[in-house]
Amino acid sequence: MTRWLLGRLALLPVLLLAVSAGVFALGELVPGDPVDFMIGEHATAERKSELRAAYHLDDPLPTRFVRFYRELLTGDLASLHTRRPVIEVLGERLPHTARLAGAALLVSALIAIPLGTLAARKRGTWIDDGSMVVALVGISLPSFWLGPLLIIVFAIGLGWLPVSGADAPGAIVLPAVTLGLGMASILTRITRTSVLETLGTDFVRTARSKGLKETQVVARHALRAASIPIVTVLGLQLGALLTGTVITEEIFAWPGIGREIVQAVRSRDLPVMQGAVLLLATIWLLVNTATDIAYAFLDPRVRLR
Amino acid sequence: MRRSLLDRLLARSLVRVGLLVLGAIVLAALLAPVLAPDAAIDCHLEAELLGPSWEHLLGTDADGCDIAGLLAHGAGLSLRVGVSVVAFSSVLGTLIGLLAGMAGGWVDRVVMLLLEVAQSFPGFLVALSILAVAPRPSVGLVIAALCVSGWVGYARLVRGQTLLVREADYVTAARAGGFTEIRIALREVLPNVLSPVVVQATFGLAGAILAEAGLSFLGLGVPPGTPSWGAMLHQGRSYLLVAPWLSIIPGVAIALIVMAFNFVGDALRDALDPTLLGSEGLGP
Repeated sequence: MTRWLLGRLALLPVLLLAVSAGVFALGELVPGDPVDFMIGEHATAERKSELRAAYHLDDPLPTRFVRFYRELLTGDLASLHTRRPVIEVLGERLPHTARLAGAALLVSALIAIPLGTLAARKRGTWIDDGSMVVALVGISLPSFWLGPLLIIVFAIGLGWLPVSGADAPGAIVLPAVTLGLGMASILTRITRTSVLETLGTDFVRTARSKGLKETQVVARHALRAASIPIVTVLGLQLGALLTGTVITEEIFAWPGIGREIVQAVRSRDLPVMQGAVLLLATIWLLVNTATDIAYAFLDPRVRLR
Repeated sequence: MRRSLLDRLLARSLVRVGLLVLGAIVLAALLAPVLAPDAAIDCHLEAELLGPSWEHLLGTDADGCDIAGLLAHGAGLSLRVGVSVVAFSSVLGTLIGLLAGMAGGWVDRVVMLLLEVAQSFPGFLVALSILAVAPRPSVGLVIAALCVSGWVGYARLVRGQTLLVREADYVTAARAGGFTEIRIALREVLPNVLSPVVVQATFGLAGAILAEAGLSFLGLGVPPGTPSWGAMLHQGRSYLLVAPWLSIIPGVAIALIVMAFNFVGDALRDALDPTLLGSEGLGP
């Protein structure tokens, strides 16, 4: 176990390096002159050479890679348009994304755990079948459809919640539901399976034979034992959630990392785009590694794979 | 065996619903060039944002194009992207996984490291970044961008399965029979690792279609003027107040096709491979 864990942790710096090399390579992938990509072909020669010098475009590749990283961390890498340090922009956006992801997790847990437990308890009945169909439908609803639909109904039609932004009270509700619903579907299925498995175990039978009420048996014993796979899936889904924020934040003009990426792409602000993509990819990598490790602790079979 | 699998699948009402929806969408895609030969070109600006009528069954969009016609053409695009991405990704992933699993040793270790690296990038973000720096958007580029991370899941799956299958008695027997490793890999092992690949590919179709729509929704997918459901949603956003149907109709189409693949995939998984728990789509 220790050896496996050390191997996993030793791999992390390698993967981080690979991710940052990949993000750096994005700038290299830009066809033709990166300066043309950033400010257009018709910019003056002076401005172009100014940019070439500022981004050290004539240096050899490894030098530029190291510099890219150093300048990003020291705050020297700045947005093309606003001239603000990339790291400052990202630091401002990250809390919003974290808040949205947290709220979406909460939404999905609040829907999935009761629904999945209910489906397991009513196994084989129409309630079970119905909730599984709802879960399958839920996975299939694209966020870029659900989002505008929720806006039409709850923001424009009923006027209950704000259309977009993050400042008004309740503004987080619609984006969190949009982001959390797809995840709730996956989580419902896992909850159902896990609770079903634990309902058949000895300790649940013991709890029943003690004369506990069925609700107590489920809540105190079965659900608690089932929470291990549930938590693991939550972790695995967090990575998917992060990429989901790109679209959801764009729909609701939520000022997070995802929206920053889309805006940087539109305005061809390469440094901001690279920084934001690198940040999301790094979080994704860290979350996945942490989930892997947690999973290995909980289920010894994983380590043997 | 095949017959009974089909019977078992068709016994489920969700599968029948899914296949019916897919059939209708394929039919729409095939008939689009006949029924609405130039839906994306034959637009009349003076007929913009019309509600449903006999002439335009689903109304018109902001450029005065017939929405029903665009929808039919968009079906073709979705299917083309889905099938291309899945075909390329599953074949490449299967071959790499098979190679790693059969060869073992350093080959396996190198492939595993490669898989770890590839998995460190979130697929949707990779596709988005590639399209962002691309010179000119095109459908082929969207397909290629989705393939970049699409194969990884298949490779991982097939490698794991190969490790299990290659210890089976019939493989040992083939080896004792003096067959070459390549022949054993292709004739004995490959057919026996394909079931989970089929399941994964069904979900993969849903994922790739969803991803294309998502990218086009962000304005980064197919080139302007290409009929795509995601691009229709992109346009619809600007008219949420005056013409909500622009956002609702293409979304229903996307949800239906994704749902249909998920229904079929879910049943296939139960029928073929009860151990497979979750599958990771590419899509948002």
